Amino acid sequence: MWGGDTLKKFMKIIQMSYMGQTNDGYLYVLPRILVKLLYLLPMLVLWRVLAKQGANLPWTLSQLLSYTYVQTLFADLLVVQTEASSWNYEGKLVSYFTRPFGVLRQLVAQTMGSWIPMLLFFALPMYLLSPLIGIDVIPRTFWFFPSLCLCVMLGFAIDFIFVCVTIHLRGMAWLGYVIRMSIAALFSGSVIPFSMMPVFLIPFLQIQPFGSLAGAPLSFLVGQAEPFRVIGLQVFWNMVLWPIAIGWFRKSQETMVSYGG
Amino acid sequence: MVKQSIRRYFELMKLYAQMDLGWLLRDTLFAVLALSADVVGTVSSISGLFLLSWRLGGIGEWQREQVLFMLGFATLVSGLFQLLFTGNNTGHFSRRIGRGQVEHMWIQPLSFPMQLLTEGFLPFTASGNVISGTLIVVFATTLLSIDVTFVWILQFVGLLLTSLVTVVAISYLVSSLAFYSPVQAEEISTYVLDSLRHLRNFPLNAMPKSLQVTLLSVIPAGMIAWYPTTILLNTSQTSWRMSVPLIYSVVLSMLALTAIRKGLRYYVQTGIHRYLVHGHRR
Repeated sequence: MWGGDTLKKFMKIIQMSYMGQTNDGYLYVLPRILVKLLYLLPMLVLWRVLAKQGANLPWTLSQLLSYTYVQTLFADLLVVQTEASSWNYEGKLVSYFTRPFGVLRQLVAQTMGSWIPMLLFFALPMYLLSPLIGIDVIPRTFWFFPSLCLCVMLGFAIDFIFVCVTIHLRGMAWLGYVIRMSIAALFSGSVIPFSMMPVFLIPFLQIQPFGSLAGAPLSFLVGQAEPFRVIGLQVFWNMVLWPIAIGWFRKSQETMVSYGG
Repeated sequence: MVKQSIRRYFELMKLYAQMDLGWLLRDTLFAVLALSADVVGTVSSISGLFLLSWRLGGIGEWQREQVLFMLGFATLVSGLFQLLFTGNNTGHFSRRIGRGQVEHMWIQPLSFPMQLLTEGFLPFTASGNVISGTLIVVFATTLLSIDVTFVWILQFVGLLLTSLVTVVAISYLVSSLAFYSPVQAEEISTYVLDSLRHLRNFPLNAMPKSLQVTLLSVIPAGMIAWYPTTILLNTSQTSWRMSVPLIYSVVLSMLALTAIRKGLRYYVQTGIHRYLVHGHRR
């Protein structure tokens, strides 16, 4: 199923995607970097201010800074978003059906390729700079790595489910996008760690499927997660949502209307 | 001439309102979904900080009720923007430029400002955030026991409109880049407004002075909700501060107008070739 030829095609799509992001020059990555920095700076200052004012924080300042810093660096991986929804609307997705390679595989490869410019020109330099600004980005436990893999896998499954939602909304990509990003921002723990939320909400936030995205690996990063429970939940949601994503996409593609424009 | 323009403006607003109502009645399920998506989007963007301030009892010098008031004000600004500038991407002008749709505007028997001030009006399907923002502000006002006088309401409406003008001006200012780089800058207004939507939610009184100054000048996120809130909640008393958002929004509007005019001059010379022969975008 994943022979040398398949892998070669997969890698080629990754390369094409990366090249597509940088064909017009590397300068076009700059606005995205600026947006990331605009997001990061006030959050880092906020944690410092709260710590300084003596707020009763459940985590140490160092843990909060690490959480927010790494979340910003690897945001694309922590809440995966493929271009499929908007491409359905724009008509680009149709061309994927004409290629001799699975549509979902192409989407995965294309998305992974699109991560490369930001990883190279934003995440890597910022990662190397982190000791200079006093932020610890070394994971406190090895569990961070399997958790990150499961998070990325689950992210793709959730994205494909939203692609199906978009198809059934008759191509209204922005509607699916708004709902999906809103849910992800609040329920994935990508903006504020779950531990900082009101206590009565925490058990619910941890157990729902989006809670196994960003919040899970980042909690391992700062050493605040129980491996058995968090990894178990991530495996569970992957096992539940992947069959739904594949099955629903197979059915939904028959009703897909993609006319571009 | 002016009287005729004003009459035409209201006629067109009525027309767009009727079309919006027609859409709502024709496809109610979808319209309700669209309405809910806007509310979910904005409420989720303010929930993180509100839940944090709830947990901690406040942020910086501000109590959680004051934070809630500011977030409600921010939601109302978003709501008004959506109500008046969502339709036909009039608030995201870079999309229209990048997609080559400005050409459609030349053949209309209406001036550019008249088209842009009326086409975006969606009083029914885009009213979700005006309703939710109003409810949040009313709730926070009750919690804070604010003495709501006629003058205070005038101040509130004035500051709300000033914030709206600031948001629209920023959107048009950055959109002008799409004249020169239509593919790369097509979504620039979305990126910038999304970033502002995140940044405007921070109570800046908790932040260091250098960050306050930056977020009130170069990146005017603080001018959208935080600064007006400090005036409305009387946390900064001096009277001259009332005029700062007004002056800022006027200056920003002039800059945006100049940039768009300059961009349009470039556009009529070069045009935009975004579409392939079979209709898909490049």
